[in-house]
Amino acid sequence: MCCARLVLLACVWGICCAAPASAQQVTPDEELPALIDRLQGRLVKIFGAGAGNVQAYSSGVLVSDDGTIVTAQGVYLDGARTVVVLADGTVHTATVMRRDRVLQLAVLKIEAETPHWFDLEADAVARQGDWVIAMSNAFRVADKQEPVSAWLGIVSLPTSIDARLNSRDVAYSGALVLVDSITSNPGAAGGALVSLDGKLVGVIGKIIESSETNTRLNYAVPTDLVRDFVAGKTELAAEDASGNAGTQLPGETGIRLFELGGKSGPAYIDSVVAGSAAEAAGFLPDDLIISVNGEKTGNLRTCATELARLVAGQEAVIVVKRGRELVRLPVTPRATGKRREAGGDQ
Amino acid sequence: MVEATCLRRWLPAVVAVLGLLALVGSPDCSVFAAVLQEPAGDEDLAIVARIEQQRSTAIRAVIGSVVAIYDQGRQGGGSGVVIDPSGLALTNHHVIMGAGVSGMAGLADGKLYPWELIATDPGGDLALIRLKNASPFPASRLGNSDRVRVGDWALAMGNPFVLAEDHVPTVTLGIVSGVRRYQEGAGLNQLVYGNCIQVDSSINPGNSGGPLFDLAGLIIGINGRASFLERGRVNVGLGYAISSNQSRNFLGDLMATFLAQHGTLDASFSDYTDRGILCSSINEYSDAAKAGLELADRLLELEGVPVETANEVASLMCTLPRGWPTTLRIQKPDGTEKTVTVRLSGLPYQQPQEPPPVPETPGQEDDAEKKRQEENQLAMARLLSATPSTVRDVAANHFCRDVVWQRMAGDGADIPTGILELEWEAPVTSDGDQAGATKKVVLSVGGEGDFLLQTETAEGVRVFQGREKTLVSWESNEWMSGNSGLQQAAPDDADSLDSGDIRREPHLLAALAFVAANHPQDAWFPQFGTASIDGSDQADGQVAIRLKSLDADQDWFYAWVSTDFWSCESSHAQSHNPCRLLKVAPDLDSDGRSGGLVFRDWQTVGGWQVPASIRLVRGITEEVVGQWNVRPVTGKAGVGDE
Repeated sequence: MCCARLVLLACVWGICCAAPASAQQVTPDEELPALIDRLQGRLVKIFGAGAGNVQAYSSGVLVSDDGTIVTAQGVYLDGARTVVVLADGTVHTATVMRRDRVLQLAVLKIEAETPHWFDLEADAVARQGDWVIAMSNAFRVADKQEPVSAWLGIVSLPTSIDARLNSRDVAYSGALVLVDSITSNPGAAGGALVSLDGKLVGVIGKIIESSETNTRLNYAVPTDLVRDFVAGKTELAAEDASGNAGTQLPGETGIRLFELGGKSGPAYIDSVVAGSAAEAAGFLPDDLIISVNGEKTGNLRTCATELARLVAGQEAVIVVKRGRELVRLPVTPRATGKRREAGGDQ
Repeated sequence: MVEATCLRRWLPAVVAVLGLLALVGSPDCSVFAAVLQEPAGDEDLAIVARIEQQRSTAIRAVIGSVVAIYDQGRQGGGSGVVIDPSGLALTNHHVIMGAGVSGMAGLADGKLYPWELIATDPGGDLALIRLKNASPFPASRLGNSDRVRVGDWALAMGNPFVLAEDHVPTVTLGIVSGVRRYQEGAGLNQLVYGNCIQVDSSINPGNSGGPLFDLAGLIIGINGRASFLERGRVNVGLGYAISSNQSRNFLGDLMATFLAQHGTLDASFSDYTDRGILCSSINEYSDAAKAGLELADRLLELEGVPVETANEVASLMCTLPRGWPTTLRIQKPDGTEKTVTVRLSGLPYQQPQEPPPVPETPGQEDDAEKKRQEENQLAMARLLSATPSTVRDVAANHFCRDVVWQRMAGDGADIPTGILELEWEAPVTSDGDQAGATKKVVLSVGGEGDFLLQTETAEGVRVFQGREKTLVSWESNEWMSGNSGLQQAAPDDADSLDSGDIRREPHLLAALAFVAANHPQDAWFPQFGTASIDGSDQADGQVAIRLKSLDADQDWFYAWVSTDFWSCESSHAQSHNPCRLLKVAPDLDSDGRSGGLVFRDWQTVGGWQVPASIRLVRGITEEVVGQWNVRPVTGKAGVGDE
């Protein structure tokens, strides 16, 4: 295996013409420029709605021959129209099929034949030290049919994170692939991380930045998670295109918020219903709710909205401030048996 | 406890970041990582070792040419790269905007050399400076950036963050992330990056003006900017380099000491679905309109490059200087195709406001630095308000002209001596000859630049002699041997020749051009006046430096010289090629009666540079109206001592 990798490396360095004996044992002796060129057709540029300083553009990867695209979840998908530009420059209107706030991914669909797409292969795994190519339309450098940019790096570490102390820091939870090339740039999310044999090993994730050090994680969501998400098999909170839970039953945690401070007041817990999911998860009165599923809850209103979005049976992560400590509490809401009211709390 | 949990959760990321630090700048480590996981065969390691050897050899070969540019006060700076042993170096316009018109330059040898500005191109963010006090300087060559592919390795070198105490350049390795990129400029037509190269090699402040090399050690770009947004001015993986081909296009303008301007067709093009790129507006008084470009014409090719979007057209146009002869392939609405060739007009810059004159405050010596800065500002303001495409600095222009002449002579090892005799058949000649008739022409050249040209006439032989910078002509009834003809004093009744005679007699012009090509510095006959560099141009389809001189009758003569010495097509050629004389003409676009002469396929014969053919061309399109095949007279080449 290592042998294969070294030979690939040799090809990348442009000396495959020397045809070392071991090269015959490996088939995908593709030079890097040819490989990148071949992959261009599988990448798309996505343009949506802008909001404040949030970019209105991103990248995406085609994962089927009939226009299924995996990209990053974000408010840019909430506009009146989301536009996908294929590598040949053709422009298509996309429908948002599914979003996932934990994976921070979304599935889009365009009505077009897309002969070039990534097979979400089960064995496409990034290992530490592997060379990888990152491809995305970071900074919207490419326009129309212009090819997206390519970066070369290596896998620093396949690992996982779920630290959610501050939603600005980490909007993502789960397994990820850390790389040493800089992928954490505006518009790069939804781009491809590809092994040197042309397999998709991950989809570039949304920007994760430490608000303290201003450093960013350069990472991708591993392909197996992407595959499950696209197939709708993910156990994580899946939502439909509208961002609401649709026909899913609303979840009840048993948290009662302190409402006397007004809707703009801090989201303190007034009480916890006995025998509720919240009690089992360890919530206490006077805990201050900081975030729900990575969304910052600055006041009672936003907190109530976030809690109302929870889906029965799907684990949510709520961070509370208790005294001087931040405590992260996973909780699985239970079904209330009643339909959700718009904007209502439990 | 919570802190411990957090730390544990962050730990993998922290470890990865540390790993990243260890790996950055040393990709071999990744090879190492792979090796550590599973044992590799000796053969594999040998491959890796060879790859690394190739890379470090390339770096060693070029690192000496990389310049750390400082301002006079050594407060800040940028980078550059020496492209000629005389010390000519490329950098960014924005580097000299900060550093001024002179300063100090550090090389990898650890020494500082003074530099002076030659010229600048605000539109394309290029500048040419000259390092002094040493010669020859180590120089690198410009590769062909059109051949650069996404995925190719790219070595950026320079002085990021001005951190090298010993001026030794920093090397950052990456790949080409994109080609034919367009990054819009600032102000009026300034700092536009068209058709540029995007790299993931780290480009940071201070890298500006430094070279981007391929693994063969050829310059493929001049690093100049990067995408910065929300992260401060540090590399985020998107750097941009001005293509080496654009730099080469502007060499002539820069060597001429022009305030270089970029070209425009005075027409704009827009994308129309299913109809391609159509001309959507045009200045009806523009050269393009006069040449036949009209509204709604579809653009198929620009400079021989097929174009599909208006963006591509805008991007390509950025790489062309004012005055560039530009060829468009267009399709008329009725479907007929047409080729249009015009010289581009210039895109103007905003005139800078000169800072108000500094009031003299005598007796304040500590204000020297401040005064120097103010003088610098004033010099930059003058620079930017100079008349475009006009020689700003005659001395610097002539310095560059001498460099061009030296580069035509190659490396100097083959100084032609003895006598060379050439013969050609001329189907088309000067006035009075019948079309289709051929006649014999024999040229004998001596080692000192003296020559004897004999042409067949109806009555006998017309002899032209150039001896000790004197041109004369006489009729003879027999062919002379080159040796005796060169030595022999002209008959008393010989006509002395002026520039008008040269204009009328293409053979004589060809002979003089041939002599000039072999003795560029000595053989510029006074009839031509003093030569100077006249900017960038194309001749015979090649990028050229144009020279011109004003003759005694106040008419111009032009000569076009290739940029071969500074550029390299092949990644394997180790030695510099000499610059070639491409063309001579008595007027700019050879549209006068006499036309221009294009020289092709130069080869070395007994130390002499000899073209295999001479073409008589007319017009800006260089339409061929005649061709002379040149052959050295057998057994005579380089045997002048007989």
